[in-house]
Amino acid sequence: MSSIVLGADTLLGTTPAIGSVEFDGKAFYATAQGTQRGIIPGAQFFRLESNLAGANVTTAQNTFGVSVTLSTSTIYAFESVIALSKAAGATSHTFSVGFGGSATVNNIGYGIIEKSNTTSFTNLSNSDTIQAFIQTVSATSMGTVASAAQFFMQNIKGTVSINGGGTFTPQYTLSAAPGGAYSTLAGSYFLIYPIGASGANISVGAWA
Amino acid sequence: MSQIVLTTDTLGTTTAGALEYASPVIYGTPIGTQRGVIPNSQFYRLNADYVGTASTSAQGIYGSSLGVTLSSSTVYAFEMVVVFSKTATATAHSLSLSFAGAATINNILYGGVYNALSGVFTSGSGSGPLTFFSNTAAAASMGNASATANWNWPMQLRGTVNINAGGTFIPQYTTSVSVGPYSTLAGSYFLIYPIGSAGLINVGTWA
Repeated sequence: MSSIVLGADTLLGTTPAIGSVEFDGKAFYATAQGTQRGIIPGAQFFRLESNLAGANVTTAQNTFGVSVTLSTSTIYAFESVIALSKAAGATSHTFSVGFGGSATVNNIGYGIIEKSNTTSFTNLSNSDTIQAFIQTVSATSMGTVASAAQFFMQNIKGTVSINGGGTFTPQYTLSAAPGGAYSTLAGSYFLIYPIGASGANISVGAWA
Repeated sequence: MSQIVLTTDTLGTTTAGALEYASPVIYGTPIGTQRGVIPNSQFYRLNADYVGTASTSAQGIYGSSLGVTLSSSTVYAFEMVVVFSKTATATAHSLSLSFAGAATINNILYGGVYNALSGVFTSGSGSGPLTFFSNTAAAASMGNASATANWNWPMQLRGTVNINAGGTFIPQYTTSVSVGPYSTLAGSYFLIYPIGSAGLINVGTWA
């Protein structure tokens, strides 16, 4: 046997059985102790094995070259570590992050910690560290770049409530064509998994 | 019944509600065709402070040579929360992170936030959190500690690693000067789980 298929059933209001693995049509759950039912993350996962070259343009660019398809009326948790760099083009520009795609969003909240510098990914200077909590999918500036060599490192974690299902695309946008393109580096990844239905707080387990 | 054992097989058409096993990963499909990786973490957490060695040699974060055994041709995701703390030796030095062990690596990228704080370790906020990123398993410096006996390095890091040949994978740190020693504080942890075979990882509806 290489798979088990669970039929979707209602969870809420029921007392979980210890040792149970459940499925409600949105997420998998497991209860290992007491009434502490928990989400089993089933993460749609994309990781670059080699660098992905972008373009020297001002239109929004797909960070990983792909989009993920998400479902209607569902809330997802996501996490990403992204490294981007370029070696040419010193035209001043802002670097913004955001999300595109055909899915429509009720709300989104994600934290981003970004370090940028002009030397390397392991540069010791931390003067260009940005921390932000972003509540829009629209492009949000992480600052201005005016050097040919540029390195960005981003650590992202958040949740998004999807209204209409469709594609969801991690993106970056440059305010001016720098003269050289950014690349997303090998090892960069994005994972996303459903945590429940939209329209209410997500409360799984013994929260009260 | 206390366990269910799945036999590995090639992934076929997705079915909502399915739990599947295709070595090296267990998958779940909660919605539509949105098959996902179910993290099965090898997990190590210190229950008491681990006292390191005053040395300039690389040393294990969680034990002198404590590492986890990983498989060949497999990509893993990992996460670590660590606090290093020392109360002796007022000598300026740098601290570097690295990974060692018998496993060989195709590529790696990890990073996150950390801080470098003087004083006796206390819970609470530290101003000016710093960031660290590295795309090498070799030692990468987090910066410098001042010539102060009491010093702390709290950190939260995440990343992925593509393993070539299987073997041990040992989280390590190195100080540029023999100081301390540092202790890795109780509660520090490291988790790591497979996300696919070596190569591009694309699970779910990414297209």
